Amino acid sequence: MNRTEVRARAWLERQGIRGLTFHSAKSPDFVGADGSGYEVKLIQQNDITFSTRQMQQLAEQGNVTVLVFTKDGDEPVASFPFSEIRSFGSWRRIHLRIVHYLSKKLYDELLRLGEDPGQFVEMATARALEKLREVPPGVPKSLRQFWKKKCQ
Amino acid sequence: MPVIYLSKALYDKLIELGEDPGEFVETAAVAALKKLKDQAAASQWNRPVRDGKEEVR
Repeated sequence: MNRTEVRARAWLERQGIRGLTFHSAKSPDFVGADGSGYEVKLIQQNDITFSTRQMQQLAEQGNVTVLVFTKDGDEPVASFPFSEIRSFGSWRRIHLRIVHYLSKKLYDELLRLGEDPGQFVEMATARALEKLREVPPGVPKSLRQFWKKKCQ
Repeated sequence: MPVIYLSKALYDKLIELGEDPGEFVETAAVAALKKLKDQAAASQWNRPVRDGKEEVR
């Protein structure tokens, strides 16, 4: 359990939530005796970060509250349902960031070829979606143009 | 483990299409990388050759 999770557990217990089970390797971090989930996040600037795997696990869990902590506080600066930030990408001033853990082999290979892994993967994904005749509205035109140029 | 950021729009689109975003992203990147390497290899083969040596321009 990291320091933020320790503070979160203490806070949850102060709220009278008993029978907490801690999950070190999957989300949500804590599950109460009643089945409610609690995912603990450390805020960095105004962002909280979830991996693609966490997003999937939390969506499957259903009833999950996100507890947002700063580096020092003993109680969360915000708590809200995961479904809120999942749907809208933000909760008040807190923004959702989604990350994907890329395999090291792929990452190293892209670096070796002089590619920016993040940009390459985003473009490759957008390209694959374009093949499906589905273009996500949020993908910047600059990325698409860059990709097409590369493919020429 | 190396981390890359995904836009929420892209993530949502993948979910909407019933894809597993993590798997889709990795597969798309591997396919694009293979294509890039194939293109590089093909351009290597197509270099002009004179007298058994690659022409240098």
